[in-house]
Amino acid sequence: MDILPQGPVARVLAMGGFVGVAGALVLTLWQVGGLEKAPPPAPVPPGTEVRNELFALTVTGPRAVVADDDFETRVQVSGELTSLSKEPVRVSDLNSVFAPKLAPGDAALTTSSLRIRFDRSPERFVTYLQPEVTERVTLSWAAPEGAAAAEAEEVLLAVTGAAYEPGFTDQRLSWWTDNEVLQVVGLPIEQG
Amino acid sequence: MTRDFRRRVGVFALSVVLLVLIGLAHQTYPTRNELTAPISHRGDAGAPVDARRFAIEVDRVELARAVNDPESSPDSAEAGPGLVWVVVWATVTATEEPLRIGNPVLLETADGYSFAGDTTMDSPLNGFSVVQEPGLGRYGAFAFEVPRERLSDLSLRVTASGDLDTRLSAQAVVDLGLDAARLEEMLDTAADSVEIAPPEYR
Repeated sequence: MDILPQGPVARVLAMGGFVGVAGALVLTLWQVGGLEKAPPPAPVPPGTEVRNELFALTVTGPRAVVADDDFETRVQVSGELTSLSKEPVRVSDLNSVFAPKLAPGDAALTTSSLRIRFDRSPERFVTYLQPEVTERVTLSWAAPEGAAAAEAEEVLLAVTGAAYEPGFTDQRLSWWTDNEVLQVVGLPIEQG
Repeated sequence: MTRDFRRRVGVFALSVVLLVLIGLAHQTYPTRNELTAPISHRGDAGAPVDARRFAIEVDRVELARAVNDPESSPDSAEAGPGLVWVVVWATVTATEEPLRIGNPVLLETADGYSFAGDTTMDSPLNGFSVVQEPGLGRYGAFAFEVPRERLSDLSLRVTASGDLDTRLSAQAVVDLGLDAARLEEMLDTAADSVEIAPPEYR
């Protein structure tokens, strides 16, 4: 009934052979580029809806605005946002799901500086998205110090998938990025 | 040979069954959220609900097209399209230590949706500056902006704790006693604007 050989030497040889074959296969896969990360999707113009487990967002644009807002320079993007959760979602839970960058130069904006304002009441500081309520919003991130924001021509806003999981140090469940880029929206910058 | 074979099949089947049982047992393991969830106490509007570390008595519920908090802004906040403000007036009394009401305060509907109480105004009872001193009842409001079509069998869920850590804190769930027919009636007579007055001692 035994498939494996009985002798210890034969067993070591069989094991060695198996490891060798598996290693050679992985090495070949690596050589032909099969272990590379998939390239992020090409930037699309505003107007296409992107949907993950947490929200549906249509960036409406048509431009990103770099403007002063509450004593700092922020990069603002307009859109239509609907939370898909049946519970309220803290705006800070969305931080990691967006990865905005300035182009050219690829300067990343700080994800934790995300702020959301509803266009219907821009003076209110939104802390929760209510379930399945669609709002016209302005998303904004703090612009980096120095010339990067003034010289940038375009914002590349990557939206990733979201997963409701325990954190690494704080084991309580909350929303995190799943690091899969679903859509990259490219918006020309208008200096406001 | 056949006996040996049959025994092996038996062992294999038993192993599969045990693995499935381990998987099922693992599913029942409580998550961190469940282990540290607030300790809930239920009751109805109109009478005090005792949540041990605090008590809450819901006095009345109002619907409005706008709310106005003179403490934070001279302008009133209009409800968004298809939304209506639900203002819940209640007295909260901490039992033996100062407490703060934790966010989000939730308004829950019969179909499983929950809405967070407004945090943009200063005057609601969940405002950051509002501390419940023990033994002194504070009367004030919670304000929720809710889609009209979600209004049905509402209940209020309030959590309070001594600091920002809300794990294992005290929680009260108050059935507001409003069915769809009553809410429909209230929608028809909804006020244009309700003023959210700062909390006062009762």
